[in-house]
Amino acid sequence: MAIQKGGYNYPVKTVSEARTVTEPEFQPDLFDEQHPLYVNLDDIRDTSYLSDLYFDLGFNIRDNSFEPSTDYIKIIFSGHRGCGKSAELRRIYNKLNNGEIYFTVFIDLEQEVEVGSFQYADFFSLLIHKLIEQLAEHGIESGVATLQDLAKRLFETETSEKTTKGVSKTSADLEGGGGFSLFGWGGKASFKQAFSGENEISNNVRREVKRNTLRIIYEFNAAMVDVRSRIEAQGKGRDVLFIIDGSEKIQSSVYEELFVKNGNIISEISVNMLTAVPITAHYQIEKAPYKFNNRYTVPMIKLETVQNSVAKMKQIVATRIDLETFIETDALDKCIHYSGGCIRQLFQVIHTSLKKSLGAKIKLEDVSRAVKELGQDLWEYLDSVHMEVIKNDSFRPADKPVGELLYMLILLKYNGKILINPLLEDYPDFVQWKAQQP
Amino acid sequence: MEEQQLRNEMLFTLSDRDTGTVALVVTGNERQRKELIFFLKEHLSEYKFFDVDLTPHNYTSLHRALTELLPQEIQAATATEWLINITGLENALYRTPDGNIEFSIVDQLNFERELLFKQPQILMLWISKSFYVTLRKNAPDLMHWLSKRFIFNVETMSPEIAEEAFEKGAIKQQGNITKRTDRISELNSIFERLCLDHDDKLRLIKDKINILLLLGKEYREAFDFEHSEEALLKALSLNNKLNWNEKGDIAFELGNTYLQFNKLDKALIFYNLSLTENLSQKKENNVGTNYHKLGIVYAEKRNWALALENYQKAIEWKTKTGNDFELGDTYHQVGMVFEEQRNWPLALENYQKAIKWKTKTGDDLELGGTYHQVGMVYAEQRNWPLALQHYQKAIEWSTKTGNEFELGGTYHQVGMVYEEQRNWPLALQHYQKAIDWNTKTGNEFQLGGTCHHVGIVYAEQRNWPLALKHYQKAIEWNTKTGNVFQLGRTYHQIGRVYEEQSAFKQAKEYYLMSKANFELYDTANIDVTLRSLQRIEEKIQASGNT
Repeated sequence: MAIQKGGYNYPVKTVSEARTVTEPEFQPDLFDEQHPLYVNLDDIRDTSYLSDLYFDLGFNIRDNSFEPSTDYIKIIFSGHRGCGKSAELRRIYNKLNNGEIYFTVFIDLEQEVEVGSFQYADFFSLLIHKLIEQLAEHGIESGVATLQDLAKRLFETETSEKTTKGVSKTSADLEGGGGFSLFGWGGKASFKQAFSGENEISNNVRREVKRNTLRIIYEFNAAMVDVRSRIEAQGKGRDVLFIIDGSEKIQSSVYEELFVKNGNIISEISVNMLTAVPITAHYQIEKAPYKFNNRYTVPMIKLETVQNSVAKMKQIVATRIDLETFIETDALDKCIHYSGGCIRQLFQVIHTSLKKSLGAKIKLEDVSRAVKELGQDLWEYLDSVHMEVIKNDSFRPADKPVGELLYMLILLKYNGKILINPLLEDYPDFVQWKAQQP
Repeated sequence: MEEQQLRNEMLFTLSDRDTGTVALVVTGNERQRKELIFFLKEHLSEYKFFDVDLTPHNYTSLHRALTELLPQEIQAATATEWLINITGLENALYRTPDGNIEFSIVDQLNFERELLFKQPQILMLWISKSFYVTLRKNAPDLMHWLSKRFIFNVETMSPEIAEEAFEKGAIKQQGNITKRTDRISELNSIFERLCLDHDDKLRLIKDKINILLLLGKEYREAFDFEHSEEALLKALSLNNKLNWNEKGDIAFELGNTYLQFNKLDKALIFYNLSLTENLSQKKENNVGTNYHKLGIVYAEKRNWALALENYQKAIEWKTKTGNDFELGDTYHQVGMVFEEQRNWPLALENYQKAIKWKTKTGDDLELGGTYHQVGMVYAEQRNWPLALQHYQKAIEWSTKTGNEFELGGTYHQVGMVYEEQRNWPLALQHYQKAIDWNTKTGNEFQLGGTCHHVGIVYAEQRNWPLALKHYQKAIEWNTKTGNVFQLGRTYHQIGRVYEEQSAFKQAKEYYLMSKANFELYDTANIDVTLRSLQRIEEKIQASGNT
């Protein structure tokens, strides 16, 4: 996300740093060894979904035992933007990426691809590419060779040689990835460059995938038998797991194609897969012809009913900014209230309050003004269909308008119930409108 | 929210950043936008600024636009030192098959969020409220991350004010006169106050195009080439995006601007574009004028055959479409071709035809101009009495028809007659009249030429200080009015003044400047300068002064 000149000494004490680290676009590495910002929310978040998820993957959280499942598991993982999906996925990765458990390939789509030009067909090639890259990093050269042979066989056509030369000329990185075939399967940075638009490489590979999707999957599955055994033989993991984050940033048509229209094809891939999808896609997938049986949603934190939740939220803020310097206690409480249990929204309220105070210590009145501004933004998004939905107070997540409201964080999903975002709930025009409803 | 608070918040958010970011500023009109950009430039001195207006372009991807439009220096920057103001996003439009107007850059923006936020620069997106609403609807992911939003409210202008602007029409009198300067300010003010969120997008764009078209013409009349070209190219781009049929008119005005500023190849491109459009749109009334203008361009290029061919087509089309009242102009131009070819009988014959048609159709506004040309034909033949007689008629007609704009030019020619006759007092007297009239009527384009001749008169009298003073004035005026293709002659004359005073080094310097200018604009005259250079070299060598 934001380009950082360097790390910050948390909790930060200068205004400009506070401004930066509370910006919604600020995405630090929460698990950084020097400055870990991650706050474990297990005791305030309903984590039953997490133990179920681990269980599906054959990992028993009680005794940390692992038994690979008999089938290849495909898990759909959703949640509101900013609810902590990525952090949870990282945590799962940290827990399971272990020689005794999984050889785990973490794919952050935003890092790996140009989201604007990412296509359905690229998903399959990305899996192969990232797996090769990961195998190479772990020194499992025989696995690398197996998959590179496969890629060559599947995608090399008459035009590929010409294409390779063309790309190499303009890309030092691609040449650096040399030693790999074609555009450098598994080579550093090559995927993003080669698949960032329309060119001979991307067109060729995409054409092959579309034309022979199932054959490619079968060939991949066959190769995986060998790859998996080599991984296990080298003690790098007893099974393979892909964790894919960031799919909410790609075009909706792409994940619809993957998980709604072609769920059955995905299910054919012989690897375990944990894929994050936007909260709206979760319900689309539910209605899709192919049923992904393993679907989980990261719930929002219930602030009012769960003990200790406010304290935890305060702790999250305190790890980033110096509370004494930047925010009055009652003002922070108000920010937490209006976060709705969503961490990114919490920082959004704080950041906007800091903007209102122009860098002075945030007071209640600054938060009030911030809340009003943010509430107004949500209020103005609503159209008559949305208003009707809210008026009827019946939120069926699979309904399109409800999906939109969930996606826009106007409705927030908690375990067992869906509520209106407190920023909107208290916005004066909304309050007035609601009072006028029968 | 109070505007001052919003401004303060904007400064607070943007100041002293060590990371790049993207911010949205919603304004109601261009004026407010300009003021706020100025405000940022004034208060955020820690950044360098670069402004990108997407209006003349046709991008569907902001990231691609920035890749192509930002200078390498900015793209290569790794620290947060640049603030890029991006305007004209609401002008990135296209028309759907069912006739609706949509923003062409919104959809892709949603997927470029990561790319935009990755820039080390600060990207300020200056947008209209309707663009903002569309962004929220169609680019939810981008908007989720885009927390820096500054939404300014403004009193917007009623559509009637824009209406009034069009009703006023063009100013009859040419030149950079106060009235024109006021008109340009007024049009700019209206353009800037046009509500960016007019309910009827078509109407808004049409208003924009019309005002830009008017501005393009007025800037041209005020000898401001850059602004004229900019306004007309924007109008053309807006028109093209919506595939309207105004293309022919806008291209024609662009042709006029390029012609006036001697950019003949570009003038040809746009007159031809206009011609093609008018033919395909069956706007046959305009076709004759298109050929007429093409003839002028070829005449300027001294391609007499093509000039005459196009004038002939112009006469045919004007006759065919019943535009007789324009025939006088074309015969006048044909006369000029023959005059240039020193074919005096044919020149006079066509000027007479022009006078006949102009008189017959009551198009007497330009009659003075034709008499002026007849005077020139006689002057070329050194028939001073007939020349002066026709210049006198020209002065009478221009005065009678209120076409005072032409008077300066004719007095200049009278001055030239007296200059040729070495009657320095009368020459100076008429040149002074020319300067007075051209100044009064804002005909700055001709001031450089007259000052040049005043310089010559003083040089002939060996009054070097006054000669140099007027040559310098000539350079200043010709530079100011974009008449740079005239500079070579003045540089040469200054060289001669220095040479006469045995200041060979300065003389050589000016001859070299003259040579460079002739190489660019007027190779036909370069031989004189080359000879002067050769001579001055010999003199320098002879004097031992290197």
